[in-house]
Amino acid sequence: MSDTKIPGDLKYSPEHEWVRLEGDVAVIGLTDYAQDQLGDVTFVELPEPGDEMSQMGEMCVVESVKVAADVYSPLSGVIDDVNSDLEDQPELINSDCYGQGWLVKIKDFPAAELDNLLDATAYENLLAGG
Amino acid sequence: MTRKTPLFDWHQTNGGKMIDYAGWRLPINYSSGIIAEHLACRKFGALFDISHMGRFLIRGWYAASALSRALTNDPTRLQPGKCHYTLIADEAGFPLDDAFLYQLHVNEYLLVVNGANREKIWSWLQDSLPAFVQMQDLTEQLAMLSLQGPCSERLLQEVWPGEQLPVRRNALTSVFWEGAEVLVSATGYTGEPLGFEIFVPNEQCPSLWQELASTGREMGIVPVGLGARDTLRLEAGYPLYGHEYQADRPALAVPQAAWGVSLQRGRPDFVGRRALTEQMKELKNGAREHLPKRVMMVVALTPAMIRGGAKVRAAGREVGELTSGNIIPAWRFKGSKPTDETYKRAVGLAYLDREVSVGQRIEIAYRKRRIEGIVVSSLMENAGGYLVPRQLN
Repeated sequence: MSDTKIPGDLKYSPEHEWVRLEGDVAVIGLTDYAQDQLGDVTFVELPEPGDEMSQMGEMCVVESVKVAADVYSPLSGVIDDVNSDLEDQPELINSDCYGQGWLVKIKDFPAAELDNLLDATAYENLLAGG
Repeated sequence: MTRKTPLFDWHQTNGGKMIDYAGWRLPINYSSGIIAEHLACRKFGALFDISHMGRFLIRGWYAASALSRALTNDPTRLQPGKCHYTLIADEAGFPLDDAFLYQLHVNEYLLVVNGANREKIWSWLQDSLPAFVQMQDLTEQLAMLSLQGPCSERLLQEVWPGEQLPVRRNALTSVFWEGAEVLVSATGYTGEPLGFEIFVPNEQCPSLWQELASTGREMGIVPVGLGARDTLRLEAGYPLYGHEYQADRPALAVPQAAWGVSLQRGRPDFVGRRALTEQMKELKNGAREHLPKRVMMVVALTPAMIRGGAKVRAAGREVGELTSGNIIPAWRFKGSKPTDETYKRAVGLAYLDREVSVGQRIEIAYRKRRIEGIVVSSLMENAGGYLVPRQLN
């Protein structure tokens, strides 16, 4: 797993989501490790803008040829936007998981919840520990 | 303990994502992924390690008549150099496995069973066949490869120039590799019109595989793992034991089972004959006492995932459930040639009430969604060397 990409400027959940802060909005996606474990992603069922999320509550479903994966929200808050490109190109999660393959944007999240997330080093240690 | 095929090291050093399957360590896919492997098979070709399949050598005087009592197809209709599909059923007409029987010589057969059923079928045959019929489990001595797709025949012709290769479906020939006899049959589990399965001793397997993989690469043929093996068979509508075939479902509920059941007059009795005769009768006259449901192919009409276990409703009531399902890629065709464009659709096999007919709209309940779908007869038709996806209206 030495070639798994873990950008240093992101926060991570133990469930293999990443979080990037853009102003007062948090962009959320799946990590490189997660997309590699899933294999070819074929379908993504996203929430609707306005849906309320709770930290570690169900956020969306990502389906690969191999498996269906429930994705849990790394933060509580309200869905601000979803990546509708994934409807036609779910494979963006495989090809560019930290960029064009983002899943949702969440607003109105409690800042304190960010402390529950891991930094890149802690996430790397989590992967190394299996 | 999980077993390793002779190609374990090759798979690991060539990007194979290894998983445990039927007690064996095999790649689910290589680095290009299941979708690319599926598409490569349809356009160029695919090379599979299927050494997890069980292989039993059965021979001796009266081997044919002994097998004829144990199997649903009639081995006496074979001849050396031919093979056929067969079921192994119980007295109630429920399947214990589906299998391929190859006649190698007079009084000598090779039975290929599903990896997951190897021990079960071995002991069932031990109990069913008379003691004077010799059985030998070759699974861990004789490896099994599959080479499928439009370029597969050309690759074999390059590897064995001038040698006699099987031409007709279900034919079997023998060639040599590094001094060892290798059996090649025109069979497969992808739905490809051109495809071969290859039996090679473990010792000669890695060098033969290497030759097929490197010469095949120039033709676009790629190694393919278990993931695309499953999507390819599903797209072709082929059943898999444990999904479509189940120990508590009548065998002839699966359409392909009819290829593997011989109920000809004059054939001596065999295990399951009475029950299978009842099922066959109901298949023809529409009665539903022994055969209430059948396996049919379905396609989702909206973008969605569907998988085995999802309940199916039609005309306002539950009519069955999916036995397999997935999103499957395909090439767009122009005439009989594939273009460079692809698309995907959700395809399933479903165990449905006999009232349900081809063309009927259904609703598939997968997770929290209700997905509109339609029952289809097949996704493919054979055009030239390619499998052409049938247009769905």
